[in-house]
Amino acid sequence: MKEIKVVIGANFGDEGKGLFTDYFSSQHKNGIVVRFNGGSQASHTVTTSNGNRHAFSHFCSGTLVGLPSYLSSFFIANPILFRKEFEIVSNFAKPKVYLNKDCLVATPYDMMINQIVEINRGVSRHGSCGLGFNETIERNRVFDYGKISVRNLFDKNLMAHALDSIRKYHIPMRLKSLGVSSIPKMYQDLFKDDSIIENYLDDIDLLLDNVNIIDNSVLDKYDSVIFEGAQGLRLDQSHKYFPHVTRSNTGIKNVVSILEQSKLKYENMDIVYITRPYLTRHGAGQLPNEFEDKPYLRIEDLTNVPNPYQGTIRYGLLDINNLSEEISNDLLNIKDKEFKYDVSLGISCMDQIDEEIDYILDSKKLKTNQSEFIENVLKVVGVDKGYVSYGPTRDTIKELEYKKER
Amino acid sequence: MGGGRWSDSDWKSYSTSHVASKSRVEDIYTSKAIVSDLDPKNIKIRESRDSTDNPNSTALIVGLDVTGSMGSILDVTARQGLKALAEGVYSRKPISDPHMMFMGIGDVEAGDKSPLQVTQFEADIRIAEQLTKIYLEGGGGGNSYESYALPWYFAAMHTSIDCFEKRNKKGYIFTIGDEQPTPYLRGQDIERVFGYKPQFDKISAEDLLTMVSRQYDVYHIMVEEGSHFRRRGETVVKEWTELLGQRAIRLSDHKKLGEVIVSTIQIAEGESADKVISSWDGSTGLVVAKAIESLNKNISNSNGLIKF
Repeated sequence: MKEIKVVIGANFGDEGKGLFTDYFSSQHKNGIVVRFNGGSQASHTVTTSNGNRHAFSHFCSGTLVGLPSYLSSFFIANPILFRKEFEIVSNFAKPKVYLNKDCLVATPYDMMINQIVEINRGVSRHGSCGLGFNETIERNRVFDYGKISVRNLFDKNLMAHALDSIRKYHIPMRLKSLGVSSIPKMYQDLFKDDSIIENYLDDIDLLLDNVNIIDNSVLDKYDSVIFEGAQGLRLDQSHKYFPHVTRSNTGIKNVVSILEQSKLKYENMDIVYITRPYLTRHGAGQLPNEFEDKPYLRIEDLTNVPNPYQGTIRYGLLDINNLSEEISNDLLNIKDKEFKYDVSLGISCMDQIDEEIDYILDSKKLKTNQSEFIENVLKVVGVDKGYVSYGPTRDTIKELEYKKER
Repeated sequence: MGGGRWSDSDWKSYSTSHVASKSRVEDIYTSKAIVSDLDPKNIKIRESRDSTDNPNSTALIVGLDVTGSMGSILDVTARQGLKALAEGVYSRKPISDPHMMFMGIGDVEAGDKSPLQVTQFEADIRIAEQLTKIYLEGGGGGNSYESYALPWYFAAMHTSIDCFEKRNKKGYIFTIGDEQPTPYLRGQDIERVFGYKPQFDKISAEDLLTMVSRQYDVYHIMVEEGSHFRRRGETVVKEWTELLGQRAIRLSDHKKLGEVIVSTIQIAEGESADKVISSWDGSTGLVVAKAIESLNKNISNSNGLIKF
């Protein structure tokens, strides 16, 4: 018996995917949690009832309840940030991580290029985290001598030479093609510094010592598989909001491809799209119906502390018809395939709004009580089942059924 | 989204060596000496054999000049360029079931510790692992030529290849470097490299070429960015062309080494030069076009080549 849960953010990220992944993980004993897009720039916060919290990146959000993590080939690994996170997570958990042999690997130089470019963009920043996610993909596409996947990490000699070629040949070419003319002194020094490479090679050792390198067949060993999406549908690389998007498929597409490759047998699949009762967005780009300030006083966000590359978080009204459209568009990626699935909706942060809530339905701004809002959302999106959270922890989640009018 | 962070102060601590660091770049960039399984003294014969997976194997030997005159491009060519070449050969398959062998070429006369290093024949990208073993000695010295004839001698005397022995199809041998051809090999050089005394005191490059050409088609790639070529390019081109004719090939951009070799083989196997050039994009196409401008598909009938 196999059960599959897919957690997907419906908006611009920060919907509460960590919370719901933690919740579903707590319901599945012999389960595994899979990251199927993004990299360590995406991090998902889980809070426990005794107030501990961690924003998970290289470890999936099922870690606290003891489920292993599988970073699939769509994930981009970053040994530097793995070490940073590993040292924290080891204090409160014994994490087990499987890493796909084909994952691309980010280097310090991808991070540096990303940061230099964002600094040069000044006020017109794209809203990148400065961790080199896109640069990693780009380097692997254009620079033959500097292609690095997880399976190459074992050969230290080759790694050292690849890194040296990256800094000598790739960085100047790439910065030139991006139109960067001035490189801050700090980065010029970093490029020349051999200890960057030495430390990075050490980080690779630590990574290899603490993960298992495998392929998709690992999923067969588990009774349930929870797919933990990163970012949100409206940040998908093919979304109309380009270029202020991320270079990955944030919806069901990659899950379909993993399921097709692994030929996993399962009985139930539930695709859960997550939203807050309002919109949030980080960094630049369109945000429909944006507020000037945060709309509800109780909103509190500890994960998204402003960082120099991304700016602060912004808020907007949720348009339910829009939400429904995003979800049906995403489901086109699985519709014609031979998969059986249900769709449901997760709404987080209901405790943060007032008794009356503002939102948009059929192009009209409405103000209703909470239960009418929930009913409207489920109805318009067209799902029977919803999960609603009234706090940051999994014990605040309530499941509800919506009876369709037949 | 937006959780992992990396700030200027993180870079500051990251650019200080960990005291307990296990990795030292210097150690990695310089293998201390020749690895014993690459030492010709320990090799009686290298075989390229047909197998179920590779029923029509074709031997391809690529020898790279690892002396000091190759300068700053040596490292990237040896570690990355040859790997890219191997990937190109295994993916484009210009020849059936390629079996690749790499050699590191030094300068025996100048007293290099390892004038010749020889990998196995490999049928897949595992050759890349062997590449990292090659010791980049960076030696060489004032004699205007490196020991480019040692690979010929090795190929002629110490390889056994099914493509030729079973199917009468010659293998390929490419040497790569920036200096002139070796005029001769001395008996004492052979003794030092191979550990036995040959029956001759001296053998000329022409005679060696005749020997190796029995089983292999012989090419040389002239690296224009090497320091010796930059000073004495005309002489280098003249001497190699006198010896090999069209099979002396100029490489203007070392980063395109793989593409140039793959293209050369494709043309030798009967593809038209135009088709091969147009199969590469933009700048690669230009470098390849420049390198192979003189080649045509009648290459084996042209002047300046050894015929049997």
